[in-house]
Amino acid sequence: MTAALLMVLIPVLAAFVGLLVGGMSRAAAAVFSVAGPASALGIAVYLAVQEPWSEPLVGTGFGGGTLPIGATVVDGLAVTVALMVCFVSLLVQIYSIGYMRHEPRYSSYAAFVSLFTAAMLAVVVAGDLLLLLIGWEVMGLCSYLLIGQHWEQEEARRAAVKAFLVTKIGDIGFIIGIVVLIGATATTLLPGAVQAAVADSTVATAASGLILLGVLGKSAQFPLHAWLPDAMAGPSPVSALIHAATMVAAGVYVVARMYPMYLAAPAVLTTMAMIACITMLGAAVVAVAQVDLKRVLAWSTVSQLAYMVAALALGARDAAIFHMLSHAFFKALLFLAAGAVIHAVGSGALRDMGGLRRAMPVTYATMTIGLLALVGVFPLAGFFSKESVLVAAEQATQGEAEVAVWVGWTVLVVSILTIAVTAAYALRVWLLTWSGPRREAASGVHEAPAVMWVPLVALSVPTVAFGFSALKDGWLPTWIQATATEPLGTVEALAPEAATIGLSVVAIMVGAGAALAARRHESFDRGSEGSFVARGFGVDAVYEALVVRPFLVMVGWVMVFDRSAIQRTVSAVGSGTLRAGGLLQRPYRGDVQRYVSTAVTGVVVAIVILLVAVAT
Amino acid sequence: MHLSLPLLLSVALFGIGVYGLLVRRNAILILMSVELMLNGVNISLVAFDVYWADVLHAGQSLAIFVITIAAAEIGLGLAILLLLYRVRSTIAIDEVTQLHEDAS
Repeated sequence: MTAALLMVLIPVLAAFVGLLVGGMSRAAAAVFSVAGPASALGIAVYLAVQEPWSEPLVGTGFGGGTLPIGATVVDGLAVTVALMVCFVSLLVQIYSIGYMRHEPRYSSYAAFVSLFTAAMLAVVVAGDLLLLLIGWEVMGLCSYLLIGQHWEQEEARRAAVKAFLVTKIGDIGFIIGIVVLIGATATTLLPGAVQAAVADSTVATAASGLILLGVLGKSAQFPLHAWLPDAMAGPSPVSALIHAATMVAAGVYVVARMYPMYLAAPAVLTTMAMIACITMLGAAVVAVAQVDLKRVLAWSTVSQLAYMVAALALGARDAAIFHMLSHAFFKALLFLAAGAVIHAVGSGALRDMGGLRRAMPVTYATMTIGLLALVGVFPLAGFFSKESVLVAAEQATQGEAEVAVWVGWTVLVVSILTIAVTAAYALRVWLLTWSGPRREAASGVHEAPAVMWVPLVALSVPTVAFGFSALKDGWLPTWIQATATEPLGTVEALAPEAATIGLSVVAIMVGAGAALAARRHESFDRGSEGSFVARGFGVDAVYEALVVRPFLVMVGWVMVFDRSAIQRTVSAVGSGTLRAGGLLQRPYRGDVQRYVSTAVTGVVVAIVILLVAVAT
Repeated sequence: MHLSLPLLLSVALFGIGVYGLLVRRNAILILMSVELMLNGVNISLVAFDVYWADVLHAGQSLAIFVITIAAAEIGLGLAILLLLYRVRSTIAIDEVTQLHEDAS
């Protein structure tokens, strides 16, 4: 039993024990909910002090032979992401104690969050493809269960099913991709399979393209992004952990894990870049028009995830992981802060907020930091990570990436535009939440309890300071550039460059200026409810028309077939048997002499046959 | 005596019994026909016993056994017929068809 597997199994254990004792005592459920991620965090720290970047630990798993299960890979990349997952999960569990205070199903909620943490950690340390797949699917299940936490509400049920089905569509590709990879390379060990796939560009393209489908589903990229905004029907801490910091980032992480294989498939990289461009700008524009605070953040998450996918497409895995980590901190912070605001105001609509600055000073300060990081303002984490993506795009325009130069230009231009839009919606959210007059709905608002604001403060620390860790090559870059598939070469710092800084500063000012100019417009605080843009450019309607309706029609056909063909066959077998029995019954009319004469005739016939047989 | 003579008598008795069983409507005559059949079989049993000179006389023992069974059978049969006559005032066998079930 390696430490990495322990890190996965302890939260699972905590989840089950918490579920068992949670029915009796709420406090016990809370203790176990915190104990799970806390001990996982302890193990992650223990793994981190082993200096995993210098020598990746590749576990062998159980079973041995040709099909080991549970092989783990502990390298710098895995440990860094595991630290982030445990940290955010721990803070979310602490926050949930306050946020879910009046929740009747708290113990199952906390157990699902712990189980989710375990699944995410399984994906992070997975050294074989089967463990990766198990973690991946359990994450999807937990996401479904947690979105549907308030299943009394129609909206939550619909969102849960939608999230499950949409990600499942991508997961079909994911499973086929893994089967292709195992089949082509004859190994389930992840580093081995990836290295073997690199040698064969057909296998690399097929496997990476199919796995990309699963990644698009989990990381909510176009065209499989539609589930994430609806997933906001789940509780805010769940949105922070699963739908901002970890699960949606798992797609990015899996691509990073298999990165050599993706580099061997330039066509897939180009596709990724185009998808990222569409998602990035489209989702940011949709975010501007949203009515609901959490939906703004959800669309923002979709947009920010596209930055990571774009960085991956441009050959900048380190920038993608860097942005993933910093995004995890500031977006979890934003969701938790939004949860505190919604908790206090009692409504998620932006038009019900406003003027909360004095009433909720801690939430105000931390959410402001989070929004500034989201926009990418120096010196917050978002600034450095977003700049590293821009630098990658800028290098791609110089032809330094695996993809064509025009792809680099497209990503660069779209990224800059998206920064402007991001600044606009972030400023809109800030203005509507904190400044201006207090609305009626928010009259009795007061600061969240300490159990809720302490995690906010804890998350704002890395949101402020994390960016600097990438500047020195011995710090973060050493960690995330060391993987089991690629031994550590020359470490490059992820420092921003003057040209891209200039461009993004201009973009931020344009976006913020546009938001300020639009402030007097009446749709500024109402959002454009029900409009084409607010509904995500009608993607849901397209799905409705292209997928849902044809599917329902086909379901109708199946039902008709079932009733007319299958059901009739079954009843025909039944009534036919009865009728045949009736035919057989017909000679038996109670005439005993007829029975006897039949028997005698039978005996005579039998004797004649016997005699004939003996004679011949 | 040649074996075929008693066997012919046996077959004749059995055949008359079968004929009576199949064509007679009166239940008492049917019972009598059954007796004829049994006695036909008895004759062949005794004849074969003699023919094979069986030291254990299995054929004769079996014949006595059959006679016993026949006595019991006729007692039972007559009792049933008596009851049948009391209930239905007839012992015509083709009018007693209550054992069959209507086809569904």
